[in-house]
Amino acid sequence: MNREYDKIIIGAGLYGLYAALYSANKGEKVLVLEYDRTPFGRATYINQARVHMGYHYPRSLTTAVKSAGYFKRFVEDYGFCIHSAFDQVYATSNKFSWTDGEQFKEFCRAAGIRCDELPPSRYFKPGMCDGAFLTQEYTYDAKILQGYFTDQLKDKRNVTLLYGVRIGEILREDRHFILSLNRDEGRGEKEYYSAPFVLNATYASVNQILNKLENVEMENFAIKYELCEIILCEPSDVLKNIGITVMDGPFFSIMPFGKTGLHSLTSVTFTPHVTSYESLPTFSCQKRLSEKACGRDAHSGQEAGMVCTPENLANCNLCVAKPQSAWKYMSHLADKYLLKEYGYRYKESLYSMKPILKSSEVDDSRPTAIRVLCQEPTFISVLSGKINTVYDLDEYL
Amino acid sequence: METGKKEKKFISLVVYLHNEEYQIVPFMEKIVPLIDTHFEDFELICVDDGCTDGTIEELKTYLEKNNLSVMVNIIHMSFHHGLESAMNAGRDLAIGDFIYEFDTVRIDYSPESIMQVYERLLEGYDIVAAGTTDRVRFTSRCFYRLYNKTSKGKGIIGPETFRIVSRRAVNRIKSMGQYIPYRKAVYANCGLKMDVIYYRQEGESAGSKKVGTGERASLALDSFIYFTNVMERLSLIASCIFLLITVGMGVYILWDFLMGISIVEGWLSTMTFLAFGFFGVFALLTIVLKYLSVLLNLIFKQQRYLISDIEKVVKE
Repeated sequence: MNREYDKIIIGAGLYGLYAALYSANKGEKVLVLEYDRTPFGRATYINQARVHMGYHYPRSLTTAVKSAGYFKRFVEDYGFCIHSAFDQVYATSNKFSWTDGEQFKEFCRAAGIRCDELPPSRYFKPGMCDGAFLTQEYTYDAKILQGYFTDQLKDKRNVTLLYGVRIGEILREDRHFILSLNRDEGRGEKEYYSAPFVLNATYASVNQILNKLENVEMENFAIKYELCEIILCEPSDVLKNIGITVMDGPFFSIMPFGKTGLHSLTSVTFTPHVTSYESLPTFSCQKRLSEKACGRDAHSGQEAGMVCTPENLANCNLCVAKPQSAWKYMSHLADKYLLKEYGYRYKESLYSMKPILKSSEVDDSRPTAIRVLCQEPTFISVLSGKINTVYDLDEYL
Repeated sequence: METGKKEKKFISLVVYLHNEEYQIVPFMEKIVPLIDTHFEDFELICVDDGCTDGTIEELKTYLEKNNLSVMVNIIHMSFHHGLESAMNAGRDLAIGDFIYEFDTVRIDYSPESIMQVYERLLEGYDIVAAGTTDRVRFTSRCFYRLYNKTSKGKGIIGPETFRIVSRRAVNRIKSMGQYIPYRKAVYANCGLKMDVIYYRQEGESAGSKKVGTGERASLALDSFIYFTNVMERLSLIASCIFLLITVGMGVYILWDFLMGISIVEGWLSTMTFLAFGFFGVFALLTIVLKYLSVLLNLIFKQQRYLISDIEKVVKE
């Protein structure tokens, strides 16, 4: 049995579902494959939920300008999931920052983005920050965005979404790719699907999917992997309508998390827990997980029998072997900077895997990498850490 | 302190490293388990002040081997900055409620002293240092004596090996907005309560053998200028002396004139006076210039130290 499609899209994150909807609107027959049981379960949901305007990249003007360009379009297209009614404050740390207040102002002028000076003493303890700026940057609510995409796709008869899928191998045959896979989280029978076009939109699993390719020359993305923790907290009334980001170095950010009423707390030093420099994500917690699974503790398992290997990354947020929270470190770092009235309380931690292109460390740029491996049949991989650069995909679809 | 019960406070350990490949591991082996048994959460910040030997490799091997559950950051200074600047960088990165500053990894005190300073701090001090009066070098003793006699603030300083500083003290220093050329003196002058615990030396001297004489002398001179009025007094005394000489010369000339003695014979003394006069002017100029350079430092040099990298080592 070999079911044929026009496009097969791997990964039901924002990039995957965006591509599915885009292609479906052109009348193409699309198949979306997802490892988890739900869409938007990983990086699309578990991140700072910033709609980037470019402020984050004071050392990479190209990244900044591009973000700013897409910002407007994204806000217009998906306004329903955007939370914009809060003051987004960027500040430059007095110590250890690669960029100071003056340079930041200069950079904003060059990028043509809003930047109004504020007194740092309004938010920060004396001597901690040498500049504070009111900026225009929003946050998106991944759950609302997910609802929108699933609603849109539900009505499309030419789109099939399969969840809990385990891909075996991807075979190139003439002008098609044939994917073999098991459904029901690997328990189902082997099935085959084929299409002349495959989009690999799996973010942290991008190399894992590439490695499933048979009889095709491929090259892994040069990435490192960071297992990241985002802390959700309840902000005090004063903090409720304020987002604060201290740059540009080992600092932190506390800002609204979509429309949830919660704030996300992250820090450059403490958010990444462990790093893997292998081409496939290899972590000690994978071993810990398999040991735990052997012990089979009936009460602990959110996802009983979960398997995670360098070849098949499971969902870190559902894993029982995730690292201990760095809440104490992150909150101490934030408290060191913030005035007392900007308080917050711990709610929960979210974990996800984040791939980082190795080439982008010096200027801290975050390019959207789209690589066409071959054409006829076409295999395209996309890797991007920002939601609003999703439009980069258009010309490839 | 009760054993088995861990303190809830978050502690930062800031450790100064400059070519200590043989000392780093013994230090870690003694201090880290001790802190670990007494405190629930702590972080370790190692300041690599231009190490050129295997210190950092030794440190990393130790950390890897022991699989510590503690956050470790290594600050790599861009080049050798000297103790004071490097430790300022370390303290600036620290996030703890209380910060231990270890100026040296050479341990010549008993490990109990480490908890003693903490307990003392809880009694209501913001800065508690541990120091010893044994085997302090002569020049240091002279320095401290002169310093304490002439210091503008109340604080008395002495030789110290390590200290603990509260977050409140760190904030206070930040809000005073001053450049910190010499931590001890700034802490002593920040207006918060400070105390020193003296211990008897055990084993090898912790002495800062690595610090060059030139560096020490320059630090001493800077400290005198920032925190004492020695220089003001010196210039005052100098001016007085020159004034006296001038008056004396005036009297001498007047006397010569009244006595009708030929002026040509006073040629020698006139020249002497001129020489002294110029010397005095130059001496004053030197002092004025020194003050100017200090002012320049205070106002213009924003970045007090340059780091090349901050490296996170362990902790999941």
